[in-house]
Amino acid sequence: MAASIWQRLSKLVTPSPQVTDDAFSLYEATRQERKDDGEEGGGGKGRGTSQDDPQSDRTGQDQGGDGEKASDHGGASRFVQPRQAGERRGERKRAGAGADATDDADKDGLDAYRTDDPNKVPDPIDRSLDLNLKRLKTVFRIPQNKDLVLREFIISRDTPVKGAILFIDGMAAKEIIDWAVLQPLMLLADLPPMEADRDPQLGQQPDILEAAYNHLVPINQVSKTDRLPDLVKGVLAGGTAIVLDGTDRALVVETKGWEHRSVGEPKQEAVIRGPHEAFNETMRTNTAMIRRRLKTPALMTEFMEIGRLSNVEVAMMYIDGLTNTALVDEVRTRLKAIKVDYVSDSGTIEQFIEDSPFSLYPSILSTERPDRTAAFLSEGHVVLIVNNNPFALVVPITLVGLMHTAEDAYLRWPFGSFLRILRTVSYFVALSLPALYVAATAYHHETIPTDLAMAIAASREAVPFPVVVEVLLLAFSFELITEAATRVPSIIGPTIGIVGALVLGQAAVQAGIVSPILVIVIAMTALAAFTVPNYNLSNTLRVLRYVHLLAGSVLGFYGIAVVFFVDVARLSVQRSFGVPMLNPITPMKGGQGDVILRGPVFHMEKRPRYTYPQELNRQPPIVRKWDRTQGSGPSKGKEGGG
Amino acid sequence: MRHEQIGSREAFFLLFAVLSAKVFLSTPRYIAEDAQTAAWLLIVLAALWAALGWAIMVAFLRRFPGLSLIEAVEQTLGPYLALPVQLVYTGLFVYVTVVALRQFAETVLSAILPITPISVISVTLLGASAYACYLGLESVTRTARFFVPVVVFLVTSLLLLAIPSGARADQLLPLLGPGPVALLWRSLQRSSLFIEVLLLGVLVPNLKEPEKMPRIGYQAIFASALFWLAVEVVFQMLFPYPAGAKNPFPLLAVARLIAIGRFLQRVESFFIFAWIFAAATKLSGMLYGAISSYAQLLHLKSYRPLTAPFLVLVLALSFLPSNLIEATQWDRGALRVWGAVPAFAPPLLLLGIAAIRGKGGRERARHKG
Repeated sequence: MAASIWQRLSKLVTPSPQVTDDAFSLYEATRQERKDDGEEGGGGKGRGTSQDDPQSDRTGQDQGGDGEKASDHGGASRFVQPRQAGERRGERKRAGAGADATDDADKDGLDAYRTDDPNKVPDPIDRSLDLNLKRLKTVFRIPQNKDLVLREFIISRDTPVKGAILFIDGMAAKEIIDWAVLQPLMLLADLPPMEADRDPQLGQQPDILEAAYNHLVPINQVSKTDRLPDLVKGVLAGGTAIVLDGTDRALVVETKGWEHRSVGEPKQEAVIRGPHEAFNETMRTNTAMIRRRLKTPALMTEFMEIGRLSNVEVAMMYIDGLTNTALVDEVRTRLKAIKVDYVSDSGTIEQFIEDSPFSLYPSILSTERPDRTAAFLSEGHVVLIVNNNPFALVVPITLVGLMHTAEDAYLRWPFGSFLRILRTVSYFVALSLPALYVAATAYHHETIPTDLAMAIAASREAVPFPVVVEVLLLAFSFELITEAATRVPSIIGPTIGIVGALVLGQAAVQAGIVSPILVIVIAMTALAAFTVPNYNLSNTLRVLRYVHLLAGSVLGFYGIAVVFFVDVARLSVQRSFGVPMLNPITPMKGGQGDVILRGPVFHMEKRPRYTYPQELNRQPPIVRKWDRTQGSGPSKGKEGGG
Repeated sequence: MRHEQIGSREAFFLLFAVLSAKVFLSTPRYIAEDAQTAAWLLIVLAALWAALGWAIMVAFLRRFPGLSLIEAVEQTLGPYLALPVQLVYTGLFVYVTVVALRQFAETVLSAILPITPISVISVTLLGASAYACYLGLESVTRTARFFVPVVVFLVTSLLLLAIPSGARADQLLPLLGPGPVALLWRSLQRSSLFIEVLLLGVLVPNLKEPEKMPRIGYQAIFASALFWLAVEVVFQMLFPYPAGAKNPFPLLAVARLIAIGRFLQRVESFFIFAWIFAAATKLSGMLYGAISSYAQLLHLKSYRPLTAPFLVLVLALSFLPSNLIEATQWDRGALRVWGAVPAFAPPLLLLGIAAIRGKGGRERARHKG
């Protein structure tokens, strides 16, 4: 009895190889049983976890915690070691107890198919459907991977042909697959063969794949391929793969049909006058919205896939014959240089391709407005649309461009200019007002008119802190409100307003923690910061404001001036795809009256020079020829700017 | 040395900045002392003399197209004989930087931060300038391009706002002040006020359009003279020269006079922004001149490693004058009297030597060919 208990205890404490082998034998038996039962893709029972699955040696690595779990159950020898960068999954040797548990995949030489990079899937498609399916199952880890749907069927012809379709549940439109793929193939395939169905390689024999392509699959986008990687990529992108027996080619049918947000209103770049639609997360919708505004065959869209695991599609758009080819090449080169596992958002891609990654200032513009994007394209910029992301990236950009909004152009020029002046003033207010307040009250009292100085002194009488602490307290509170308002669930959003306005404003004043004048200063700063149209730039201001505050509190106006000088010096050498950020202020490349002020649209004959467009003129010198009061046009030869 | 390219307009703005920044210092005061009521005329005459000096420099540099002043000296005299002349130029840049730094630091102290140690002001001001310098010539010229309009705008508005505070045109009379002979002689001495134009000689290899070099020099001399003239005239209209001569920082005194209603008074602190922007731009330009000329002398591929040593050197030298009066004397009594001699005399001699030795010009072109 005692010996038996000891044996059991020792088994629990120290898992012996025997126990592991037993577990694997049990697994193998179950697996074989499932196979025999033809169980594919169904039932929660079949979902392999790393602790009972020898494949966890290979697949568990990317599942993080699962690997550790395996060690608890299977012993230290089964602990999955992290893979070294660049080491291919298929090349890795399995170690420990799992090494004995070779499966069918290895026997059939399928290990190379167990890759996580669709581009590295071995190339050819075999004529045997069974072998192709075995390979595809290995690639997609079927049946453990429940997202994949593999449907085998028979095409009823004189000589029945076995076939199968493969798609990802949730990414493909099932109705299209049912009615436009399965139904014709399964029910209508015995139509008489056509001349066009003959395989050019096989000569006389009609080919079922050609027949499917020519008249059995009534879908607008179908592509033939003889490469397995194309098939895999097609399925991953939401398409449906049709694999048929007896042919070394296959079809990829466009059946994308995932749930997505419809086109909505812009959230960050709202306008009163102008279109009210914004990009959404579907790249094709976004590119179409741009193309709707630029109906020219010269509008180019190039596709790239980035991220070994994410394989996110990035569309690079530009206008052929207008955009500088060197710029297009540079953007392409930088995108191709991104060799990472995972990248999904335009914000991440931006960080990989921007010129000055350590600068506080952004050097790429992100916009959610298709109209603005189209306008940038027409000026010779390059635009990047990232799938699953509602922002387009525009390059190159300047600081001045970051301060513009779409509405500036839609309003008549005096009001457009007025808004720009307002925004420029706001920029400096947001940057320096708290710092100026601290400097004036702490160092330069004489600059404050006497009555105001008395008012400030009276309001600060009850405040026990130095003015800089007071400012920091209120500014920090405001940052909290901003951050909380961004993160809070929308249903309790109004609470933040009440908390911010009442508790932090009125109560703080009544409690004598801050002075009422300072509340006005911080409120003005906040309002000014929100007028900065670019989110990235407003974040820059948010941080720089504290640098100015520090300088102002230590060295007064002098400190602020020195920090501002350093800021400009640093910014003057920052570039956006080769274009200096302070352009067209310095260096002066004709801004066409579109810098801080906005000139009349009919005077803007030239595109911005900083993009070095292939064609500089965008309209004739005199557009309003009918207007006799304008004569030969006041802008003749005007290149303005600067 | 790798040469960053700058446009003609950027070069003009940089030169304008380095030439004009002295209006914020005590210069307008001692010009008023020198020429009494004809101070503005002295500026015009000094600018003409300086233009003559620049013409000599241009004549010399034209013999060596595309080469900087330092390189041209070496071409003319050979590496060993050229060394003292080249060091004189580097020393001149350092001297101008040192004097400007100390005076600007003193201005900040007396105007807005009276109890701050001067070392704090000097270190931060020169540190900011050296940073721009380290970032490159592009940074130096672009900051100049950015800040010069701001400074000109602020100073112009300062002058316009100050005029209602008792400006009297009759204080500019008599027109010829101490008399034409004295005026001519003193203006010749004060042509040293424009020796910063030498910086353009060092920047020749960096110019995108080197053929515009002479024109940029003349334009910068006369534009800065005009700017200075405006300041001097308003200063003299507000302060008759016996009273004006007692103001250590004339423009600051003018700013203090501004009183438009009850609200707009004592605004000189706001104008300190113009002071600092002008100072930092000038210091970065002159420091670049010093470092770049020395790097050219040593045939270095990059001037950047010299930035920190020169920063320390300039900082240390700026503490040598024991007070503001001594610092002003370094400027008024030495640099702005004799500065033109080391600046413009060597080119005149070198021009002769080059002609005799057959260096530069057609001979050089034939040799190259």
